[in-house]
Amino acid sequence: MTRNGTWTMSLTGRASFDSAAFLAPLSGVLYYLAASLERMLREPDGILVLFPQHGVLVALFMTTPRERWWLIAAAVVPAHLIAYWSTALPWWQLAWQALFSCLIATGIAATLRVLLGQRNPFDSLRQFSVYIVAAVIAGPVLLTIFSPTVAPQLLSGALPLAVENWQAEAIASSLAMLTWGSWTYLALLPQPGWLQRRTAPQYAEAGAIAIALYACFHLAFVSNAENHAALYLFFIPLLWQSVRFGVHAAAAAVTLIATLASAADRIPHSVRLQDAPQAAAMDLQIFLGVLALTAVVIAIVVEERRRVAQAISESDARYRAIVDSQTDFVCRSLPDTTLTFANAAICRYFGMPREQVLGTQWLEFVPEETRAELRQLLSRATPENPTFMLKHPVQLPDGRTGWQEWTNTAIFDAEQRLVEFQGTGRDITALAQAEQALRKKDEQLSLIAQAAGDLIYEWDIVRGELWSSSGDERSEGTPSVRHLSMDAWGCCIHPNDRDRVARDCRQALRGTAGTWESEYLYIGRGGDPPRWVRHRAYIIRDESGVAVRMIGAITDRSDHKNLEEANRTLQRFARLAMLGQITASIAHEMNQPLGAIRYNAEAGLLFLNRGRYDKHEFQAIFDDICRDNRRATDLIGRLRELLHDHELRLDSVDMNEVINDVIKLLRIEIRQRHVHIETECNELPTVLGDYGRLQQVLLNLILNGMDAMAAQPEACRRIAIRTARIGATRIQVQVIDRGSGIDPATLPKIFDSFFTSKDHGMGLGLAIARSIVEAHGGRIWAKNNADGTGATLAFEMDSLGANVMLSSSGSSDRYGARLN
Amino acid sequence: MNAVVLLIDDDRRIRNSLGRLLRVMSYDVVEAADWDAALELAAEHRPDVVVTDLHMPEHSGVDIARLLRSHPEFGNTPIIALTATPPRDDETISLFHSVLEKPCAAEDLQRALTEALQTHKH
Repeated sequence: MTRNGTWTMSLTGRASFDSAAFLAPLSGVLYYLAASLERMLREPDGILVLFPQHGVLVALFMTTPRERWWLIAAAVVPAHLIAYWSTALPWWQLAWQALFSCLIATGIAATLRVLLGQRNPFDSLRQFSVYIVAAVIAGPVLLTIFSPTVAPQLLSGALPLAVENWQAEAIASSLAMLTWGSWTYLALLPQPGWLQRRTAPQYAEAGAIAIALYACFHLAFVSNAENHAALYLFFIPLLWQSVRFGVHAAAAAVTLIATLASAADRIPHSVRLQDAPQAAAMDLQIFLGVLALTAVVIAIVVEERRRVAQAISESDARYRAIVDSQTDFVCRSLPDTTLTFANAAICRYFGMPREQVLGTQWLEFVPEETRAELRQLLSRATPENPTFMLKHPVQLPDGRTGWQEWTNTAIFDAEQRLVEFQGTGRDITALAQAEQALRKKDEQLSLIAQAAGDLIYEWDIVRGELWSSSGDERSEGTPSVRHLSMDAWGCCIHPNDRDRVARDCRQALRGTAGTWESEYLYIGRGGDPPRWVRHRAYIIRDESGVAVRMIGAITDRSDHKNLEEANRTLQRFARLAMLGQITASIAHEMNQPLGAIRYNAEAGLLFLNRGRYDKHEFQAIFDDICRDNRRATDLIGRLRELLHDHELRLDSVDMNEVINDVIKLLRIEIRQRHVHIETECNELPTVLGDYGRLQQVLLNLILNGMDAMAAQPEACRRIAIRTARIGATRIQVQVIDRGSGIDPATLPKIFDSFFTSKDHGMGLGLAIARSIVEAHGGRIWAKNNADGTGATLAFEMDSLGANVMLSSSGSSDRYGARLN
Repeated sequence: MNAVVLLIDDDRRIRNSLGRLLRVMSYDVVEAADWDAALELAAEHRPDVVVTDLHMPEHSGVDIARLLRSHPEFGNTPIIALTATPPRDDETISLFHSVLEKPCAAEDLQRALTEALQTHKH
């Protein structure tokens, strides 16, 4: 109201005035008018009925902050003096009267401020009760003791007169609080109710009430003044308007009636107060008090009810607006699915007005074939389990089929009879379509995977869920890892591989790798024969690097594995065969050191037998034995290297050394076959290779050359072995024979497995030579010599220097030390 | 006076060990690694018996035996062959007094040498 120093002028409802500037004049004027009214009402007999200025003052103080109350008081004193100057009372008594008015008003206003704060006393019955007790009863009764007409009598001991005056003044003040006080207060409010826009019928009604009030007044006070019962006529229009127009109008009406009634004695023909003026005045006061109280209380109660009703209706409207603005569906339906409520979303969805939707059974929207199933689901709701979900297709107005998902609750009455269903739902057509598409894609993937003979899976490690392309119908014959856990999967792996594979996989998951690959023997869960599988997987990690998913494929590798196994066996066999060709050399090489050892040992024994203990001689014997033993061991090592079935073991290798070793190994064969071998070993950079395997290559090439010359005269059996650098990074080895050459038609095939032109050959030697050279990243070829005698078989491979150049500068030192 | 044995083997370690054994057996030993050295030493020391390896580069023990058999001075000098792969044809075998499979036992060698020397003396 005035808390922030701005006072909204209530009479216009628009203009705002600064309270400091206008409060004092306004208070003065209002007080002067009220005081003049009081004087007028009191004339000519001085009988007091109403103190309008007390009500006005209380209202002023109640609507003004306490720190400005002095302004009101300062305006009131002169206004009072002016209003009562003509009464010829001494000036001090007038001043006392003015101060008494201020005292009673501030006392009441302060008490109300304490009890109600800023709240409007006429807002609720409870607050009005406080107003009645403080302003209407306690204030006037207690404070009137200080009135200039009561206090002096009390002090002078004229008690009966004091009580009489006190009674009259207190009641007059009380009545003023109920009438002028209420009305002024409500009029000073920023938004007084009576200024609201009204409709024409309302104005007509208000006019009718005003006429009725005037009629009552005339009947009670003018034409029919002797009949007291006429006074009760007032209740009819007053209660009518209290019910219809609120507190403000009621306060205005009772103020008007009270004022007119008080002035009734001044109206010609009025005889009401003539017989026993004071007693009659009190009757009137009590009557007016009851009238005002009733009217105001009823108005407050009605308004309170109206506000509650309005709040409920607003909240209801808001709720309906929310329900209607939902994109989700909200509905209520009878047990037979007849809709009794449907929100706007449902009406929009089905393209029907609400009136048409209501009364329709919603099952009619569902395709016919689904209805029976839904009816059955609906019938399953029980008071213990009233809530259930439905997902069903619906027929859309445009003929398409949509999908809806509903959460329904069945409502039962006290006898546990089904009363209705309440449901919320949504359209899931897009979702259902997406699901359908996904399912289709899954099926396609599965088909592709089955066609490819692979098993594809995706493993959600966090949730432990697995999707795999293997359907249940395939779980018997194919590796199936549906519902996979590490243990269950492990059980499908052959015990020999199980620990290795599980360890590798766990390590990969714990590490940072993005992929994992393994091969193992899969034994499955049934009694199927074990099969080799290759398991390749992508590991998907979260931001912190923890493996969360694994997507992989398990491929049946039985065929590959069998082929590899066969290949390996074949190679082993070929090596043994090759060894068979050089047994003479091997026997010789082996016999030499063994022979030397034997002779030395025999010599030592003879020395002993003959009693010759020459220390130096024995020392020499033992030294020789040790050395020869080492020689034999070296040879065995070399042979093992040649025969051993191992993966490539790369080391830096001097190709010239390999050639010399091989020639040494072949020495006996070379001699027995009367072949002359020439070597032209140029200085070479080392290569990164497997010494034993490269020996095997050379052995095969030389043996092939010797075989090729078997038919030649002994003198012509010559093989030249040449090594050379090719460019900066490659080395080349040529084995040139002087045989009959190779038939050009078979030239492209001589490195194929099982191709042979010899009677005793298996056709594996050259094939193996090629596979070894290619495994070293080199190439091998054959050509007939230009001069028409014999052929040249050659191979080329990168030197270690090439690797140095290709690798980063950081690793060049490591290799650099090994270079020539 | 001890008998002189010409030992021919391209393998130095065999020469060393076998030479040592022959000396313990109280022979005088001259060692040759190849054809040229053998001829030279034979001319110089006039061996009573020749012990040779059969498999050697360039000229084998058989070549040397043939040469010695055709030599006017050493045509009768007995030759003992030591080999891991004994020859099968009689012509070759007939070149030698005996063919021992190596490594042979000391007593076999001793016996062969003794017989060869007795034959040579007669």
